[in-house]
Amino acid sequence: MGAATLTPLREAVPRLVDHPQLHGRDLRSLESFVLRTREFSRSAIRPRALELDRIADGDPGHFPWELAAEGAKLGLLNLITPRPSGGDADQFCLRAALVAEEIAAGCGGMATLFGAHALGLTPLLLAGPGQWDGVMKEVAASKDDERPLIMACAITEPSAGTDVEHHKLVRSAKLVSRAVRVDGGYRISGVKHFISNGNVARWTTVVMPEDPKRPYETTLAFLVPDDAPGFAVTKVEHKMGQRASPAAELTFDDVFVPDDHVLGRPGDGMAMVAGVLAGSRPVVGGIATGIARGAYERLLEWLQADPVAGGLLHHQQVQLALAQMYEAIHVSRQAYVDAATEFDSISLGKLMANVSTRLFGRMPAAVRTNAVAHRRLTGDQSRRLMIQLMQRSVGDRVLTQTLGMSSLAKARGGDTAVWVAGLALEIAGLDCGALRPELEKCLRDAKLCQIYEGTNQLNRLEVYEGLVAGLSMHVLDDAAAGMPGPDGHSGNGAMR
Amino acid sequence: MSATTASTIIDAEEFDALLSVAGAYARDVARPLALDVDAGDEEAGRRAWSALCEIGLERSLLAAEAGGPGLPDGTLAPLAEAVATGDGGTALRLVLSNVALAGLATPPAEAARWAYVPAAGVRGLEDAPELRANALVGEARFALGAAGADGLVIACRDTKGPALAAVVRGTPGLRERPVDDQLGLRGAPAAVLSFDHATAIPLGGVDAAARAGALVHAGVAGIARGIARRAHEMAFAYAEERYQGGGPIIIHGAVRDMLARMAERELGVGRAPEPATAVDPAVALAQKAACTDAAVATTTDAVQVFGGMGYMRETGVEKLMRDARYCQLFPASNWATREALLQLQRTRRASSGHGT
Repeated sequence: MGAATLTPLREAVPRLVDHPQLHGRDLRSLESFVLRTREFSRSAIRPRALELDRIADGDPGHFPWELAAEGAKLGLLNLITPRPSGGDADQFCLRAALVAEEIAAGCGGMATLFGAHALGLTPLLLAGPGQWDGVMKEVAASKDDERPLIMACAITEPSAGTDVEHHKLVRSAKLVSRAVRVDGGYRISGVKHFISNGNVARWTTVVMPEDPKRPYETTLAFLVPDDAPGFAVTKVEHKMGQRASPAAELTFDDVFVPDDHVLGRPGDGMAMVAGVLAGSRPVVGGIATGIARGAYERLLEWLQADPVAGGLLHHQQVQLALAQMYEAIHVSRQAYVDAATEFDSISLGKLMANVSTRLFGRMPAAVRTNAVAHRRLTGDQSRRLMIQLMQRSVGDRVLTQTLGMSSLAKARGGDTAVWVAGLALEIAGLDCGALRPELEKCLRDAKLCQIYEGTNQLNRLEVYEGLVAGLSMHVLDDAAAGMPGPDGHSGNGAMR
Repeated sequence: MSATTASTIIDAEEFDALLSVAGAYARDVARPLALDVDAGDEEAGRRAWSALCEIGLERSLLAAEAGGPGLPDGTLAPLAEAVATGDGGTALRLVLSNVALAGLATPPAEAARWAYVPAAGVRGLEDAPELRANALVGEARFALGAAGADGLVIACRDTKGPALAAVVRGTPGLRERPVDDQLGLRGAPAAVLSFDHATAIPLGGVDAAARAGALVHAGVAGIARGIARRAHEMAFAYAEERYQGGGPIIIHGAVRDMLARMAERELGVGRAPEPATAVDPAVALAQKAACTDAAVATTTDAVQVFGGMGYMRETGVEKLMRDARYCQLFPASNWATREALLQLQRTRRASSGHGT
């Protein structure tokens, strides 16, 4: 009887063989990386998953440094790090999503730990070559450390959650956080909550508006270290599941952020958020698919190994349920692979293939990190150039469509995870020995996939806008048209 | 001791008053203690139980001749529903205690806690402990609500088929081990029970076992209704007050749809039957499957309405989702429950001259 695994990758997702951006060598390399991650997940993560869950139930701030360090050595903290920064990412989202499935099949929380780290790095990737040195290189360089460098991304606030992740709803969101322009940078204040990895991240990318009443027009992103004066971890949440990845409340009390740690200009923030979510939601689809697969595989192993339970396989209801689980996992996988390849080849891919971007990649590091060059690369003109590059090579319509695909993958995956984990538990029943707490954990982990990265309901609105109605959100075009910059210059500010 | 099915008549007014008492207990005692009970605070569990015993709800089905009120079997589910709006686990203790006591003809000691242990294995009765010459042999691998009970009424099998037998705590040959990582209904902690020729008192055969089975199915259906009602109520209140996207979230179609479906389930499939003198086993099986599926749907959506807050332990909504899942799985999974319903229907058709 077959497990719903990816052996080999080209059989699980046959069209990858003919994908224009995946040459034979790339596919072999991707497959090899996925298989190495699977082995890591099976041998190191799954055997410890329940133990980690129990520890974090008593101590929600607990962070599994040992497993994070093992994963870092494998490359799991550099899934989206481009070559100029010391990484080896060619397929950014696709590789991250496939790997997320593998890790989540062992433990959903561990997959979120690595996924949330990538989420923290994505704004740097999208901010352009000026941000590919510094923190990104620090992350790449820490991969062999006992405590590698962890990232987090802070968007949601106690009074504003799902709405801050939508380009329309954000206009009426009740944001409280605020960034104030000062000499040489910004001072930021506010509270962010449900921030995965927030209590252990060395650097957090934080999204805040200059004017909380006009977040759409004034949001931008900041890079904040954990030792910044005024920064504090004020709470760690006690979650139902996915406990291996702690979720924290972060307080920013007049934290100074220098200009070279400011990502984008006022108003660029929503383009950044849209880009980050377009890249992160397929990864959540991968996590959700992995949780579902983990539940299915555990159930199947039990049915095949336990002489009493094995009798259940003779029931046609059980056979049909297993077939439906396999079917749902397969469909969810195709959805996230579609979304991830679209992000890599159409959205981010075009940006990475741009002449300016490629030129930067070939620039000697000594030149790139020169003080004058660095100021230029992280300055306002460079930020404007990146948005213009995204606008020209990607555009609002394509970004909206990519976001729609990524939301489809996320929503489909989240529903699959909850359904499959629930059904697995129902087939096994309460009297299934050591399998029971494992399946119960799968179910607890699964539920978060319907909530984080925007609720499934919000994601389906993105599917409607991007794929059904063929709409365009106006985040790139508006930003490229020239919002007021940190230097006070303003462009035409055309809004639609 | 021997099984009895005698019950007194209770009029509607009296029963409404009793339901009010159960509702007040849920609101004032069980609900404030629910998160502590869920977190494994044994003292909170003891307080919830002793307050329940003070109002006599743990023995409402104990026969009059055994010194109990002897309420009709049909009153158990509504009482369980009322208590479950406070805490599902405590409501399950109430159900299991009443199902156990309903089979006793002599009064149990004051404040003693009894629990019924249904046959819940993969193969149902085939996996149940065996009663041989007044001694039980076998195992109950996941006896929900049995941990720490003073007395147990075990669904078992004898040479004639299904049977019930009572075992008291401390009986040689009875061994109890705790269960870790219980997902839901943690107010009724589970245990693994081993019977190595443990002395047992036979309480009856097929009829007694069928009555106990029907009672527990009806009771779990009631608990599921109570849990779903509470989840619906919490989600509704939150949707009215939580501001997102330009107003309270109840203005958004997605949230409205979830709330409307909760109401549909509550007023449709999840609606409690009128309390009757007896419980029809087929109705009880159907109610158990329908109400627990509805409760899982409603509580899962309630967490969704709360969004990220719903996933955090402090709001108590995710607990309702976990509790509802256990209702779906206890005493057996719903696919097995439906299979049992079908078997019962076929037997009835055959005995009435229809079918094969």
